[in-house]
Amino acid sequence: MEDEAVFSVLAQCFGPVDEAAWSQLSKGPLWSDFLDGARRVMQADELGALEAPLARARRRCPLQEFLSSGEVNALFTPPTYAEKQAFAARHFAGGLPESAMPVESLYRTWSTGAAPAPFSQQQGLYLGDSAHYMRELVERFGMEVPPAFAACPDHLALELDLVAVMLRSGMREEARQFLTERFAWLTAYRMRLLTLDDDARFYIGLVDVIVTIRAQLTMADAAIA
Amino acid sequence: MSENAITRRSFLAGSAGAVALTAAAGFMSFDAWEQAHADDASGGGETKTVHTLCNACSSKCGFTAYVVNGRLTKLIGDADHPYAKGKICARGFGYSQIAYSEDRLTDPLKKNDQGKFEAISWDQAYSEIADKVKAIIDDKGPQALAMVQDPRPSGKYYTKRFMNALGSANVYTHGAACNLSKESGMTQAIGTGSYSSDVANAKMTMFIGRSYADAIRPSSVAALQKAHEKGSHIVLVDPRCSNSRVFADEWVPINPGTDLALVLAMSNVLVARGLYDKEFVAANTVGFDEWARALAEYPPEWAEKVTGIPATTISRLAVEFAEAAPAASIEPSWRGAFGCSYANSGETARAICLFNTLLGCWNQKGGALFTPSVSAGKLADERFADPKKPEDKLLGSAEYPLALSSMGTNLFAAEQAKEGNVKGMFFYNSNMAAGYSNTAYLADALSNLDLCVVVDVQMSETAMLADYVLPDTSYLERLELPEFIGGKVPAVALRDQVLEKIHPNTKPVDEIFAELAEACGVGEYFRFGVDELADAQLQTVGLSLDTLKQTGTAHFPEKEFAYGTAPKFKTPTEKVQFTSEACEKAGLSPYPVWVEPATMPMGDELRLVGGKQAIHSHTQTANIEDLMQITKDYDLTRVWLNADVAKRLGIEDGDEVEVSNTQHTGRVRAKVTQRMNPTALYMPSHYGCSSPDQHTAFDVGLRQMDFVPFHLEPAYGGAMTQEAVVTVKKVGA
Repeated sequence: MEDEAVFSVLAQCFGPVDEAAWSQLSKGPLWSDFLDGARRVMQADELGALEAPLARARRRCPLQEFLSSGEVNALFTPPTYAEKQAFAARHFAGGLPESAMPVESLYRTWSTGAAPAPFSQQQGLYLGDSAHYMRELVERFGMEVPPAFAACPDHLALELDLVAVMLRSGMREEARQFLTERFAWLTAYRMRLLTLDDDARFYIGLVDVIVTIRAQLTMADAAIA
Repeated sequence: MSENAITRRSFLAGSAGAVALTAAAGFMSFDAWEQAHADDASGGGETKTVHTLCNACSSKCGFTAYVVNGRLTKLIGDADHPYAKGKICARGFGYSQIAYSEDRLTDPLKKNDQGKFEAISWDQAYSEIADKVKAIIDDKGPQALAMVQDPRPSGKYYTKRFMNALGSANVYTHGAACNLSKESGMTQAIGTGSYSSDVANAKMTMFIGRSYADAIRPSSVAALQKAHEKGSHIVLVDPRCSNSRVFADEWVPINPGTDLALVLAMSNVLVARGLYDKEFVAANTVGFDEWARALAEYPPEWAEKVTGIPATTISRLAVEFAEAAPAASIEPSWRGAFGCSYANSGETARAICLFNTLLGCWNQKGGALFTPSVSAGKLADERFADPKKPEDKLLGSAEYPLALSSMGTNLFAAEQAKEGNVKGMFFYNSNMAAGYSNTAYLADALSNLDLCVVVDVQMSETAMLADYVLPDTSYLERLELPEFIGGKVPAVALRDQVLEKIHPNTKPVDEIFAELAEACGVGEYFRFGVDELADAQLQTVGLSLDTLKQTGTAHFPEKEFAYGTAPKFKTPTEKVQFTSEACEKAGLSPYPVWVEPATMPMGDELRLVGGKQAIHSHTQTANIEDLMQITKDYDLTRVWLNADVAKRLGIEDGDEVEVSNTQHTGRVRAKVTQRMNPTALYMPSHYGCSSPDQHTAFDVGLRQMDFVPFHLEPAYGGAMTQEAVVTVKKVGA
């Protein structure tokens, strides 16, 4: 599976999809392709590069090298559609004791200058700078934030989706920069998932995949520098 | 499905989301974006301004919201708004962040079999709620349904219309836990629930239990400051020396629950010494002689033993009032000491009106004023016709006959829920379970319902008890109906929509109840938009929605108040009623007499009193991080304890203490101070949130209502929120 498809699948794991689409994705061979692709991207120095088969073959570290066994098990047994829906209803809805909205604004300072509101230095607020940046970026690309994401253009599903779009469009450097800039908040989000009463290992595993990809790219950047 | 198919499935709308971008030119790093927007607020961004109304307390002050590139950046109080006068308070600034709060409810919720909430669709919520409403009506009739709401411009209209359309008369405000007793008592005496003290022009004003500097309305604070600077005699009667002390000449540290005794004794002095306005009393009152005779039982020496105030002070205050009259009054208060606090709250309110009558101060400069108001006229459009008036009366109106029907006693509805007579309850903008009376009792009562629906912006304690929670938009995201405001120059103001709806699956109150009504089969009463109704209402007073949106506030100078005009008392006798047949019929004395509080401290017990701090509105603002930070910075969850009492109990300032009574036990730090009456313990009424979803407020401080027994004031139906005694001891001692 190509890198852009890996990010598309990751996006669909955190966003709302219909039953047919989820079944096709999670029950067929596509899922194992996704896991294989995720394992490979976690070991790549750059995104979207067209590697020779031999180079790909060299990258064979198993997922266990990067994830806990519980997370690996969870990733190998993705939730059913009903389970995915139930998790979203309890955790991807706002205002609940068990809410764990995957939205970047909630984990960053609301605004560092663009909007000097009385509460601009607060964290834990929707529609912070990251949300407005995302909306503007999406629109600069000629796309639109869907109405369902109006409160959270910086929802993890959209951020991952945008990485996929950029990779698909040959914007490897831009995707790389975006990924290293945007996904630092996932460390805090992972901590939130860990506190949930329900089993969140599937989503924690996915977050760890993204965090690992980001770490790999950051290290590669540092090495170049 | 092919890999290609996966990548075509994109959340991002537009063809590029599904396929590929044609150029990389659109990319911008976050750093570059920040630099590009660095001067947005100073003019670089697209700025719009909107006049609207605050929602941090019931005052609803007008302000102008500045929105830059779609984001709220600045709030400036509207100079034209009669309450704001160009300023809003800390709560007003702080509360605005509720719009963006992570604790906002984003979707309709249903409690599942495990007692946990899950997001559901609006259609499912409406359908299931409607089925349950119909089942309750089929089984027990519409009077088995009740609504509790804290009035807001649209909410008070739509909730009442919804319930009346269903055939239920049971629409309650929060009043039983706020100002029901005060408004009802005053109505018995003067025919209206309140009046305005002309503080800025007074020679003397007495505040009983109310602190303008703690429950801030900017115009009130400004008036108090002006009075103070002009040398007006300002007297605070309060067990706690409040923050209004800075504007006052005198603090009278009365024993809580004994304000009635003070007023009776001051009245005794005026009558006994002939210092009252005999001409006004003769021309405008009924029953004076009977009350005057009864007052003989309440000389200052008697009151000293009850109130803890020296008889000489009581006499002096009465004489000073007489000397200042008619430019003097006892301020009407709101919740304070007699809004709903004690077994004698209604009678205290009644007595205060009668004392002011002795001063002859009604409609006199510096006195107590009946200021004019304007309201929308009858609407010709049939779509706005009222539903048929329910056949039955509001539940509780027989048991608590003096409670104003415009408020009702919501606690009676809760009691009926516990007893199984009320089966379904709706709550709008109301956190009854945490703030109205005993929390354990109310949790039991609401848990006994077949249907409990809460409409709110965050997961309140009441919402936690609900079967369905419907997510409201914040006050910044909706247009509401016009708010008419009485005053020397009456006005009307508008809460306009400042921000685009933030969470797409939330709805404003007008839509929620209109759609719920449709699901319940009474949608014919809601076939109009809130903008249409607002415009229609404004047209009846010579305005339009468009014009009011431009100014935010409009005044009616042709209705301006004039000093010296004869007051109109809307009592049955059209006079001030020193005696009230309704009170007598309700089992009270026809004229105000001393009524003991229901609970008196014994031994080491202290009376538990609550009250506002300037940065919070009851439990509503506690989850606002900036406001809670002030609480933490100044250690404001502390209970206040008199220094002499503290010394006797071995408690020092800052010690952790255990507060306990038969209802509850909890720990908090103590503020040891001489600014507290020795018979009382003050506990701020904002804390102790038990909703874990309110991440900022949860588990901070103690909650007053945990300690207050469930009970209702006879005849008036108030919650008697300060009829509780506690003991306090140092932890570890």
